[in-house]
Amino acid sequence: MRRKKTRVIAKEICAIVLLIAMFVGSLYNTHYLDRVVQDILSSVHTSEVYAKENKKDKAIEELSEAIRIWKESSDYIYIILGQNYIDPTTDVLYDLLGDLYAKEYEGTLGSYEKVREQLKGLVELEQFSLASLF
Amino acid sequence: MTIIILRTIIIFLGILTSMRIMGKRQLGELEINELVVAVLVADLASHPLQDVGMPLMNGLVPLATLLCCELIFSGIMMHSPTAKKLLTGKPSILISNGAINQLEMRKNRFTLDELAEELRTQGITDISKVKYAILETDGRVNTLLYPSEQPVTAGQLNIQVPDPGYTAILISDGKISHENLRVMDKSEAWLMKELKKRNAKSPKEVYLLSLNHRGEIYYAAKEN
Repeated sequence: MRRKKTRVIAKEICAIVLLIAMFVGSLYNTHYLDRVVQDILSSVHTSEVYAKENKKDKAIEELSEAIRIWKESSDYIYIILGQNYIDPTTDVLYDLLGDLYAKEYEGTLGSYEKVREQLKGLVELEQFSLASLF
Repeated sequence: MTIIILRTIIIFLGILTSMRIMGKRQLGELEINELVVAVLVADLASHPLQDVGMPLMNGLVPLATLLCCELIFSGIMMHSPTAKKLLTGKPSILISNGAINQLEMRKNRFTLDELAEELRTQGITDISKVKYAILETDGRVNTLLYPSEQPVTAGQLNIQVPDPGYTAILISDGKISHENLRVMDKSEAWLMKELKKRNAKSPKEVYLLSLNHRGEIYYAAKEN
């Protein structure tokens, strides 16, 4: 009888532990996504600085690094966010790369802004706020 | 993911509260927390199945969250009668000592037609024969008839009724239940002997064979 009661309580404790573990996991996910996005944003920023200085090759190189980071982490990001959020981000990154090849710095300003907003949007999706909750 | 977990908890609590306010009639033999889980689970599981672009985690995380909520809530209800009363309410006495409690009927939005229908499902056609009718927290109506209307029991008539004890199914659709054979303390050799008595060559020819503690066997051969 006592063993049965202990087993019942153990089930509830397992449920609480699982809930806490999921919260911890979700916090790690947010942290991971934030870190990846910061790394990409940093490369995008450096690329923009080079583009401003008319160092096109270096700007393309930095943006390619940003794309590499994004592609490396996209498998994990798929688990957190899904394909619906990965494709638009990949698109804006490649659009910017295309603009860098084809246009002068002024012509790429809008694309840089688009990439930044898209990446910030991804982090905001996972960040806890009343707006995201409701 | 944090958002998914928190949203699931909010929706769980939201439906729980609305069901609690709607009253016991909506429940249909499930406790309120069980019904909330039943309502949500089917829908949660189907979305990631239909949309390949949606990660499976979007279905699994809320599912696990619901499981945790249900276990925690049922645990709280088991250990705290106050919490149970708060979450599932208390049984409502619709008929007390033969009198219909109109206030409770109104509170539970139970019409006379519905009460009569519930009584009819229990074989009661005359409401005046009911001493107590209780609307349980899971939405069922339990009744207690006046002693003069209750069926007579063997004990009241002082009749000795043979007790058949537990009945175990030994062969079901051609398959032997070795566990039940052990429970009834019988061997396979005994079973084969019983089959031979009934002109059956093997258990495959038997649809049902059961045995009670008085040693009585029910036998049904399989139709070809």
